[in-house]
Amino acid sequence: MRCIITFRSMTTALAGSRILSESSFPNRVKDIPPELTGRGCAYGLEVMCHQAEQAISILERNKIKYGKLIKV
Amino acid sequence: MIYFDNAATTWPKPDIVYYTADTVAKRHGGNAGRGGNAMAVAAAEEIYNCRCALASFFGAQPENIIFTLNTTYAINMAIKSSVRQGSHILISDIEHNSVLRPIIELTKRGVITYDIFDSSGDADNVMESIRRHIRSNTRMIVCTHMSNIVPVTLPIAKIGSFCRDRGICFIVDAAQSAGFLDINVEEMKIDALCIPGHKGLYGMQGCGALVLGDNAGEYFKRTFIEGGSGSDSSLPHMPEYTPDRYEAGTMPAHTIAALRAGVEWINTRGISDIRQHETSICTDIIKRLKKNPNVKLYYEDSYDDGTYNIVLFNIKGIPPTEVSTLLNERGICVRAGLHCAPMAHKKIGTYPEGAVRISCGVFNTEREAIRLTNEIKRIADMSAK
Repeated sequence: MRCIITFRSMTTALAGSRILSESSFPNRVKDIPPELTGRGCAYGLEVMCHQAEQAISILERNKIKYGKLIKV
Repeated sequence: MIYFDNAATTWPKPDIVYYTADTVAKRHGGNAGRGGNAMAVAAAEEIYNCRCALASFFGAQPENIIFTLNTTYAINMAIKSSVRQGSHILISDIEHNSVLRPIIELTKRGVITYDIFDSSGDADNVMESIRRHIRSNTRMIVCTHMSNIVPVTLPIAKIGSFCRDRGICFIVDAAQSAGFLDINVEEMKIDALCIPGHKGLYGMQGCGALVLGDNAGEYFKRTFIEGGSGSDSSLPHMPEYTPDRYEAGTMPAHTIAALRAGVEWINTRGISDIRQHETSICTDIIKRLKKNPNVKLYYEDSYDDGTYNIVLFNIKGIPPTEVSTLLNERGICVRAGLHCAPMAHKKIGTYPEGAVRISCGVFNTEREAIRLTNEIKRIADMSAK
């Protein structure tokens, strides 16, 4: 199953993507449905759900601000 | 063609810069931050790579790199996004019109008052002049790092510390120094550094940047331009966070990618090596010009302390624009006139006719310097007859 970690901007999503890739976590930047954020266009990182919690802890360790974790 | 107008824009660029612009335009030509298709994401990655390169180069955070059209745009954005009604602003006496004109305009509108500090002498003299002009409502100091006509460098780190201690916003015009002098926004306590992409960083024309320091949020509240940012698009206002807050509209991904290539090229070559090379070429030019009694060099003594890439001169009896025309006819590009810095020319006594500026770049050679000075000698000899 795939999960999406949301970000408010493309810049932050790319910063997150870079950090996860450096930690050997496969991920993909994608746009997410505007209604998910309630603020319009936003971006997410698609990761495998079984790796999502670990991915989030890496983002937190690197002070990358993310929004929500969504299962798709 | 021999090109000695690198203070206006550097030319040529390193080959990798042209290659990068071309390749990115052809292969990653989507619209960055506008959707998640492969081309859009590839373009966004190009821009993000440049943010990281500039952040590392100037000691800032990637999200605090705001891309602009050029330095002038960045300066206008910095001043007008942070200015408050009734503020007093200090600028130096060698500012380019990119600083002077926004300040004059804000004064005309009744938003600010301003004073001009003296850039003469050593760092202590400059700081003393700043202290003399400070008022209780001084909210901002805007100044150039390095003059575009004379070998004068302002003590940016000292001014930065002075500003930080007093809660004064510090904006630096680095049009001439970026890529030539070492700059670290955190160490120098700069709140906003305004840089060109196409000069000392060896990128292409069409993009510059505003590099915000970590403390900049204290001052930068207002947006300068509004529109699509590709984020928070259901909100009627710009996002609150950088860089999206200040970047409205499509960014030129290929130009920005070329800037990244330029910065990486500088890192490989070494900024101190570039500085040394350009200074050495200028030193050679000065030595040759000094021998000619018909050539008047300006700020001659300031060349002794060793870091510069411009030489300003006039030939007795010939208007500067005529000198540049004659050099142009001999296949040499220099720039004559006021160099958009009338205040600086008034200070050195070359207003209103201006002077001729030779500005060196990393690709200038000693042979070109010899050819240039020989041609100047011929023109000077011609005028003496």
